[in-house]
Parts: sequence; structure tokens; C-alpha cells
Amino acid sequence: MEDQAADAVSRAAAEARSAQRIETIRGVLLTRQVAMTVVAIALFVFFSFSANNFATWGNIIDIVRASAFIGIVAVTWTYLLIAGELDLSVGSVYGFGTIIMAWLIASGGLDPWIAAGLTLAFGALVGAINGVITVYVGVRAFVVTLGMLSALRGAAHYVSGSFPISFARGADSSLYPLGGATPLGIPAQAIWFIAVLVVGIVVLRYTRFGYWLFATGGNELAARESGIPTRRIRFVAFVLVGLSCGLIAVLQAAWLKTATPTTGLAFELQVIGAVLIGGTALTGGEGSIYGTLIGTAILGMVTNGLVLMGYPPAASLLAAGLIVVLAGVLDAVMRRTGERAAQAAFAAAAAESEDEPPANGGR
Amino acid sequence: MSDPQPVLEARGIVKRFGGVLALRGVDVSLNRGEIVALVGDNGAGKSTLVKILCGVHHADQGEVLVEGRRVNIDSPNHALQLGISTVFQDLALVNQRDVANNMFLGQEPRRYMFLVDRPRMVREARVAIERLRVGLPDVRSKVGSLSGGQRQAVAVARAWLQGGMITLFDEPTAALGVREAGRVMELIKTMRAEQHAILLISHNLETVFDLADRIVILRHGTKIADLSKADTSKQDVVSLLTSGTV
Repeated sequence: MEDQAADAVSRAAAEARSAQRIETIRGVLLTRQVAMTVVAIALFVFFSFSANNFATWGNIIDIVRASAFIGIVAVTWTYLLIAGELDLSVGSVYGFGTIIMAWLIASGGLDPWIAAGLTLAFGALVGAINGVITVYVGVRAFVVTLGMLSALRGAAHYVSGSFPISFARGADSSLYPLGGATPLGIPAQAIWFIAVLVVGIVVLRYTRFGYWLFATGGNELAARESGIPTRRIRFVAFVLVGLSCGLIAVLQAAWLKTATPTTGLAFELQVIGAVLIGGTALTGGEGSIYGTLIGTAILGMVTNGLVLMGYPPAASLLAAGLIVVLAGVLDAVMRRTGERAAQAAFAAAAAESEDEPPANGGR
Repeated sequence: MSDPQPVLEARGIVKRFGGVLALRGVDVSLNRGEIVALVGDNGAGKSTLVKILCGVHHADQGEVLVEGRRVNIDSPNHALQLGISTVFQDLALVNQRDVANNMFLGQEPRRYMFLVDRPRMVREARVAIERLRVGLPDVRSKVGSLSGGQRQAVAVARAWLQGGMITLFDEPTAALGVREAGRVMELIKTMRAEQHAILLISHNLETVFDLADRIVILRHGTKIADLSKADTSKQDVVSLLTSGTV
């Protein structure tokens, strides 16, 4: 009897300590999202004062239009990184995709809708190839997708002869407004981005697929032992990234009615930058679409703001690169502080009782 | 019906890994409300047998019967459908996810066709914590922030929540301190009282003699003894483990 009462007391005490521990860890995570949001707002305020015409409706629309494609691919890239994989080939899939679309219409004489369907299929196919080689053959994604980055850029130049392919003189199509219309002054790209964001958030947070992405990237063995088809999950994430590249290739070609083989050069850096600034863990298992949205916004504002301040475009590239490195450092520092806080909490708890330390340092 | 049919029965299980014969025709049976301890030295084939029964590995020969029906367990999901839950030695937890999510890992309930029923997960996770009387903090805390015993409790609660009547435990107390191990052993006894059939791997003979009704001893992939706890002693088990004879 006495034993039971003592047990209940120690259990209550353990609960109270654990609750405190959770607050510490939750606090750190909260800080991370809040911090990035504050940085984004601060940047907006800074550029509003120091760059002419930055905070005008027209310029904001410009930023959104320029960032939308990065954002769309960054959403699927976030999925992939949460599942513990990466894809460096996105810029070339995008670039070659626009070439394929234009070539099919201009030289192949296909209806733009059919060309669009084939371009989407091409994107998904590249994702599937990356996925099969990485997931089922077992080659590191870094190797596979780096190779694909180079191969598809080469293919784009090969097919186009390194010249732009235009189909502006062809017949008009009901497809083109999907890439170029501006209903109520909002560019189509922005609407697509918002749609992808909404679907991206719902699927990641509220469906089994989303849960399983986190589980696969967090602890693949545990996920597999729990009956999650982890290979299929990773494969599908690759396909989604490819598909999103196909989508933006279609939208870009439909908008400009021209494709250039250099489209999407260094695009992967911007996508990866947006995802990392957004706080998705390079180790997998953690991340959010909201973070990726903030990351996309920060990169978009810096690129645009510096140009408006009169700096050459090279400055934007420089700044974007530095911000990515800064985000990485910030991430490492915050993770370490979080771990230390968790360990301190455990040490305090352990001093009071004989509780075990966390199995992994409270990551 | 004086001798009830075993809930789970494995007959003549053979498993090879390359040239190594891990199991050489092992028979094991489990009854309702019974804890069977599987003991043996490292490499005796205990974990291999458990992994076959829970669908992670596939036997090269032999058959498995659930409630007298022959089954071919081809995946962890299939094992779950047959009512076989497993608490793995590594616990199969995802540190970055919370307690409620881990209790339903891979088996998340759904509503409105394809959305995960998060409120139900939280509700049922709380029920499990209450029913099993485990000292766990809020079900929304991340598993990575829990102590070893709490993590083990999450893994046990998951097996309990899966609702199957057969539960396999691979070294449930190995990583725990004395006090936490005691709590987990209470959990296992609670499950036996609820008529679960339990197969338990343990190196710790104290744990085995505290919990088990029957002790099965494996040596070099062969079953060398199947003893009722009442008819044996620790000395007998130790000598069987080390020399193969009493």
C-alpha cells in the first residue's frame, strides 16, 4: 500500500519534470519558427525604407511571381528532405522540361495540352528514375541527382542546339493563360504557388502519407518495423519533386511561349536555400511547409530588394548564398542550445531520482 | 477442450542466412494468458525466431499457425492483421514525433476518407496510458525527450493499442534501470491478466523467472528444452544454457 502511494507521488513528480522538459524543447522549436518570421518581417521593413518602390503592390506581385516557381518546387523538396533524401537535379529537369514542351509544340506540332501532359510525365519520369536508382538500387541520392543535373542540362542544349525554341507564332491555346494570365491582377504563378502550398500543408500535416514521410526520415528502421512501406514513401517523394519541376516547366513555357536551354540554371541552389532557411532538418524527420514559405519569401525579398537598391544582380546571388550559410549556422546553434537545455533538464531530473537519461541526447 | 488450442504455434522453423543455419527446425507454441520466455545464448536464434513471427524475416521451412489456421506472414502489417504485435529491442520509435503519433506509428486511424484522425489518436493514447498505469507525460511530448523507461512504456502501449492478442517482446528490460524494468514487468503482467499470449526474449534470468509460465531454451538454432517454470530452477536453466544438459 505504502509502496503504491510512494509510486504515485514519484510518478506525479516525474510527470511534472517531464512537462517542464517539454516546455523547454517546445520553446526552442517555437523560437525557430518565430525567429524566421521575425527575420522576414524585418527584411520587409528594411527594404521598404531603403529601396525605392519596394513596398508597392506592383513590386510585391513581381517578387511573388519571381519566387513562385522556387516555392512550388521547394514544397515537394521539403517532403523529400523530411523523408531523408535530396534531389540536386531540379534546375535541369525544369530547364529541359521547358525545352521539351517548346520542341513538342514547335517541331512536333503537338497540341499544347498534349505537350503539357507529356512534359509533366517527363518530370515525373525523371523523379521516378532518381527514385529507383536511389531507393531500390541503393546509390546515394547525391550521386544520382548530381549526375542527372549535368545530364539533363546537356540534353537541353543538345536538343535545342543551344538556341531558344519559340512557338509564339503558332496558334493560340487555351493552355497558355494557365501560365500567363493575371486574374484580378494576381499572376497565375502566384495562384499555382498558393494552391501547391495549401495542398502541401494539408497532405503533410493531415494525411498518412505526410505522417509516413516524417517517420521514414526520422527513423527508417522503426518505420519499416511498424509496417510503413518506407521505400515506396521515398520513391513517391522523388516522383513528386520531378512532377513539380514538370509543372513549372509547363507554366514557364506557356507564359513565355519560348524556351531557353539555360532556364533553371542555379535553380537548385535557390530551392535548397529556401528549404534550409525554412528550418527543415538536413538529417530528415523534421520540417514544415510554413518554414519553406518563409524561406522562399526571404530569398525573394533579398534578391528583389538589393536590385531595387541599385546593386548589380551579382550582389543578390552573393547575399542569397550568405543567407543560406547563415541559416545553417543558426540551425546548428539552435539545435545545440536545444540539446543542451534538454540535457540540463535531464541532469536536474536525474539528480532528484534515478531516472534514465534520454536515449539520444534529447534530440 | 481440456487442452486448449494454442493461439500461436510455430512448427519446424528453419532459417538460413547465407551459409549460416540460424534456426534448425524449431517448434514453439503460445497459449492465452501465458508468458513464454525464450532464452538462449547470443546467436542461439531467439531474435531470428521473433522476427519470423512478426513478419520481418521469412522462414525457409516450417509453418506458423494462428488459432490453428496455417498462415504465411509476409510483412509486419500482415502480422498485425493476424493479431501479432511486437515490441522490438530497438523499440521502433521515431524521436522527432510525439507520444500519440508513436503509439499509432504506421497504423494511424483515419476519418473523412484520407485524413489522419489526430483527436482520436490523442484520446486513445491517453486511455492506453491510463489503463496500463504508466507514468508518461503529455501525449504530445516528443519521444526523444523521454527517459528509457518511458520510451519502453510507449512501445508497450502501442502493442497493447494494436489490439492483437499475441505480443512478442524482444529484450523489454535490457536497457532499463531496476525501477523502470519493474514497471515494464508490471505492464507485461497486466497484459497477461487480460488474456494476451506473450512471447518474451530476455537475457535476464531474474526477469524470466519473475514473469514466465514456461521457458523455452534455444541453443545453436535448436530447441533443447521446453519447461514449465514450476518444474525447473535457475541452476537447471543456467546449465542448459551453457552446456546443453542439466
